[in-house]
Amino acid sequence: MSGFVNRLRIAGLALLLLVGILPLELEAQGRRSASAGSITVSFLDVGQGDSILIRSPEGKTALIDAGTSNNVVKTLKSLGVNSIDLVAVSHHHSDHYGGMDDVVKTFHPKYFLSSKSGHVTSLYKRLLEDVRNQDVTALYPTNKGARILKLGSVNLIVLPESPDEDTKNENNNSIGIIVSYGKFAVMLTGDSEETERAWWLKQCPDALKDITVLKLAHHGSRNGTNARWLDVTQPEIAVASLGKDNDYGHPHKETLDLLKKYNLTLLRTDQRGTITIESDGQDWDLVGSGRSNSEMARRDSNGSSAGSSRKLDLNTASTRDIASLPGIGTSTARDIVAGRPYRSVDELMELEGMGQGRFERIRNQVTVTR
Amino acid sequence: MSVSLSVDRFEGDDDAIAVVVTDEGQSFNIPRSLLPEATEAGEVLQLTFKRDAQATAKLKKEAHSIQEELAERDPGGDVTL
Repeated sequence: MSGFVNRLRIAGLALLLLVGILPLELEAQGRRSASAGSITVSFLDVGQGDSILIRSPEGKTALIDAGTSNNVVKTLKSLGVNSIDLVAVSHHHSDHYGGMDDVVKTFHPKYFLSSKSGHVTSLYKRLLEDVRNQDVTALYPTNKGARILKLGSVNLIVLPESPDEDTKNENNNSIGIIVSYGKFAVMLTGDSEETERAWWLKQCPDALKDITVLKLAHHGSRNGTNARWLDVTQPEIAVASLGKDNDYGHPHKETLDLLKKYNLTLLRTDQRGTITIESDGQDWDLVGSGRSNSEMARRDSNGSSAGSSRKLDLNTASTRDIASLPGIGTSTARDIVAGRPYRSVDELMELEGMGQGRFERIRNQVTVTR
Repeated sequence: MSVSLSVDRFEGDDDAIAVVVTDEGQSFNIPRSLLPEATEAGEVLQLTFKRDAQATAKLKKEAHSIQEELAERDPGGDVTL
């Protein structure tokens, strides 16, 4: 089974070569869904909850979870979303499905992915009723193997579910999804805890490898991430979706210490607002840095940031553009992007490993806007 | 189980959120619409919690029935969206 999933991820890379020449698809208001041949994954700022928007190069759209309330509809519209092909509820907790009823009513998705967990509330039952009444096609994970949902040239690999439902802890009934596009892979596992992760590690360890972006399960809780999970997935960057000053102490100190030990940068929606990552299937960029995707909307058709200065703006330039500066590779460029926002160019000197020599080489080629 | 609560204040648009505090000092929000009509800040309320096994079973049964109905729509296997 795991070999099968890996072959599918490789097949996705081959398909990528075909779609790379597809024309750029424009959305309403002149906003681009992604660069030609690129996927975008946006971790929406929904406060203490999860909601992840995936847009394929062909303009196909999926929404995994919908936060706690109908505010997510407003957020989606502000991002230029006018249709959704698939919605998914990772598990039956309201900080993941609270806004889904309004998403279903507003966008009329074609598919609804959920588990059959028996943990329900009256609010979740109402969501099921609306899915049924709107004739949305339901999809479920199976315990027989992974399912592949093809979102254009993007594969949504739905991990197998355990045949034994956890009746005490709904977090362990989370649906696991790997968003796969070429070499770029995003791991989304809802609020899964140790029990469920251990099951996946036993059932399909190979499929969990070579992850690019790891969404920390359970909003950065100590039970959502452990060393074994990081050892297998080996992510390049981590993302946590959570509310500022939340009541639960997320992200937990143990999680932050673990990420530090692994030298992993953590991007947090409570600090950055909506986080959007774009990839052409090979490299990836962190798009924008503030509470909106305005930088994404400003990017011109060549994929570079608009602006009157020829200098690179440290607060808005793409990782790729920064990496092209003398003496700055991809790794340092990512550190620079992760350190946003900057108030002055001199703040680059605070980056570990920057050094006076490297700094002087790029000093006159960069600027900052506020 | 009954809990004694004091209405501390009203917040939000149209004062629609009641901030209540327990005798032990725990504070939380309740939609004002759930309080008895004309409740004012400073009043003491009794909140009663009672487990309802019958309603729980009914909810689970009804939700399960819809899940099974929806499962019949699942085409199975891989899906092109």
